[in-house]
Amino acid sequence: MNYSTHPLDSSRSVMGVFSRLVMMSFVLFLCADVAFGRDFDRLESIVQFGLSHNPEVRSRLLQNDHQLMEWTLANQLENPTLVGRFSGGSAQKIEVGIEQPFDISRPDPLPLMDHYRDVSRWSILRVHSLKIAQASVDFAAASAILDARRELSNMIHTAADLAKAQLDAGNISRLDYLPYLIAEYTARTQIRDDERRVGFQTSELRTILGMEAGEPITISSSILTSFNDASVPTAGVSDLNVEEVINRSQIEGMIKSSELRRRVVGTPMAGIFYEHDDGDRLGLAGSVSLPIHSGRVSVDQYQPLTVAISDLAGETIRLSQSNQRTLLIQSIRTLQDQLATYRDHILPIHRELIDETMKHVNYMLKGPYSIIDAAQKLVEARIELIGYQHALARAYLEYDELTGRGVCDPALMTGGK
Amino acid sequence: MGGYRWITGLLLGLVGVMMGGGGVLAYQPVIVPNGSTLPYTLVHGVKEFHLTVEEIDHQFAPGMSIKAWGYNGQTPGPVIEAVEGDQVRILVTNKLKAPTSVHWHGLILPNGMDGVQGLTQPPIRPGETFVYEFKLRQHGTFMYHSHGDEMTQIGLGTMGFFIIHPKPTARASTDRDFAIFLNEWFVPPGAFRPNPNVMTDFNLFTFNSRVYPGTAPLVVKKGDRVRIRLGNVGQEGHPIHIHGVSFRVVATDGGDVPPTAQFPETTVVVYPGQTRDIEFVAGELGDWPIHCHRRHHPMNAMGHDVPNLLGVDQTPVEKRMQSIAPNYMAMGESGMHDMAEMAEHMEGPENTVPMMAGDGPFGPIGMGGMFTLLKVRDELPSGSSDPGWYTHPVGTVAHRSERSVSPNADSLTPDAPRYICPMHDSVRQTSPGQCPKCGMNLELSSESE
Ligand SMILES: [Cu+2]
Repeated sequence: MNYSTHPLDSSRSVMGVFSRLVMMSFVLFLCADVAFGRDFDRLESIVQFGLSHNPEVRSRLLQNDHQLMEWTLANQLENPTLVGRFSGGSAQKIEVGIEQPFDISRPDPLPLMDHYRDVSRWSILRVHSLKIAQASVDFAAASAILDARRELSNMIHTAADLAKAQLDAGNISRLDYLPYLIAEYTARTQIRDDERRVGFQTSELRTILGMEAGEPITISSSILTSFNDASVPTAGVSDLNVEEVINRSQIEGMIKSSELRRRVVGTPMAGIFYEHDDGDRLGLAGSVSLPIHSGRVSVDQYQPLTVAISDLAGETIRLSQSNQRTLLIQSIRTLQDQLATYRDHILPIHRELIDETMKHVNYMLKGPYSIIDAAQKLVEARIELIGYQHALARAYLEYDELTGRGVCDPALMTGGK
Repeated sequence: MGGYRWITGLLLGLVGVMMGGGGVLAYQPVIVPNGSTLPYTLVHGVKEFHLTVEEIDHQFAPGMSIKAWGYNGQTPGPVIEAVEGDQVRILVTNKLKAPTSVHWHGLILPNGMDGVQGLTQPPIRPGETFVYEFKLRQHGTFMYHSHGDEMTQIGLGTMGFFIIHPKPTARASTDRDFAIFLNEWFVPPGAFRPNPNVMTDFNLFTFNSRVYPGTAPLVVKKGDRVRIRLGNVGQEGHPIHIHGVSFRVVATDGGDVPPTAQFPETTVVVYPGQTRDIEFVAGELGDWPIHCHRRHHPMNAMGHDVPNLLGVDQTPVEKRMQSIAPNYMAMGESGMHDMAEMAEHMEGPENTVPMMAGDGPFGPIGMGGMFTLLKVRDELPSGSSDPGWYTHPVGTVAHRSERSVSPNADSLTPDAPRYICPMHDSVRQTSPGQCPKCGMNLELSSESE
């Protein structure tokens, strides 16, 4: 994963990305029933798989379209009205007319709907991408920890077997042996706890990937380690400031909506009518509502207010995002330092500790339990390392969420990068 | 290194002979295996010695060196050798970073020359030189050692022999006169500085601050009258045992033992603060061990908390252990001898001599620490301190027999004496009856069942 350049360069418009998202929606629907693999070695492939298989994502996208259609229906131009009037008596009179609300300045809501749909789709996919990615790294970390705990447990079993052999040979008392036996059974219960935890995470992950219960999933541990050496992101102009994009689009929507509301100021009505009484006549009719109440707020007042709100909201978002981003970059840097300390120092020193212990065992200065102890310490350090790898992956994902990079990159969601 | 020191000791001893006696052999010089004798100069009739106490690099055996404190670059310090009646002047220069003093252990001298820091003299501060001067009123084997912060200073090696030869004719002369200083140390395996805080759990035990196989042998001629002087200012008593001889303790640091009070021994315990002079005639040719008889003292570093794996079949766990440490090899099931055989092939901690070491003409000797050899030969080797392994006359070495000895061997023989007295194990016969010694009925041995 390379964070030095953003897949979107600044010259590319957000809208351009959104149009690709629309394309992607089709791709997702098309591949929804295609047979899938369950061995994942890249986070991107899990995210794509999840987006296309999770029924919730598909339902949310449909709901979104549904809501937007309703909105469009509510805001589309009114149909012409057929008006008729008949007066009886000595002077019979028939009037038939067509009236059409008439507003030249009013924008067509359809393009606005497209815009809304793109942004909200991206929002939905982004949230799910992140959820999938997080569940995947959680699962990968928990699985890696389970593997390590199994190694630890095997070591505890080995120590207990050795102690049992000493007991059987009459070299230690039952008093000396019992702690090993307790440790062995305790290790067994801990492994079951860990398995239960991984089971829980597997089930979460299956749900989020749209997989049936019991379907096997394998996620390569490289998903976690791929973050180890990823370059530390630097806040760049090419980042998609996600909240800002959404804010901008919402404000744009508000402004457009306010234009739609010109009707509250006064929607002119125009019509053609046919009149028949003593002769046949065609005529024109018109009406206009008087802006006595609604007219107190004019579009001219409303729009600058919206723009001001937009600016302030944008500023709030910018502040918050810039601080969050800085914090995340610091976290990523710190976590990478921690990882480097484990990789370059702590783990090699633990390995050296095992080698040195081995030398002492060779000279009968230490016994096999000392090697087991040293080896256990190495595995415990590896578990700590996995913890840091997990934290680092989570920090990168948060950064992705904040900046629309990585798994939250719209380009990824289209299936190509 | 060992050989070099041995020769140096011999030569310096000879210098002493010539200088002390004005060209006449006044005494048989002491041979210090792995050590040396301190030269002196005669200044207006006073024998003047110079000791410098300092930190030194000291080798216990090839493969293991420590940072010790010693005199004139050695631990134990060089032997001060003089003759009863001599006036001696000893200059002591302190190159340590700590104050020190030198106590002349066992000598009767003016109180102010006794060398007790704070009590009989001011401390010798770093960089200072002190002078001690007194007349030697006794003869025998005495010692010198630091008498300030003894846990540290003696613990790190500041001790040596002070040997006073009797005036000629006062004591029967010997052909070979050896001096061996006993001491114990704690050096964590893989480290190189002795821990002076250790009080009981020592892990290295030395003859003249060397461990076997770094100890030089004592080479004598068959028929030689041999004296071995043993000294100890350590923390533990050492029962020193010599194979192939019967000896007598002829003197202590308190004086000569009257011949009527000497009794034959093969082992003498030398407690802290004691010296013992033993004498014997080397009557049997061969390579005879000299060692401390406390079982872990003729061994090099052993682990204090090594699990007991005697009789433990490690086969089921060995593979699993190898998955943890690929080079793991199960040892200890039948004792520690695996160690003696495998030590050469396995890597141990840095700067550590294996617990059991040394190769003999018939295989691994598997010893260490307080162990050396008394080599008795028909002729002393010329130009070499070590004559090599003894060549046994044909037919005088224990050898493998084709006869099998097993508990059931007797029962396989039709006429095996299966009836045994329950009180007298030696009374056995092939048929039932009574014990001629106690009259009890003989019982059928379970060995035959
Ligand atoms: Cu001993």
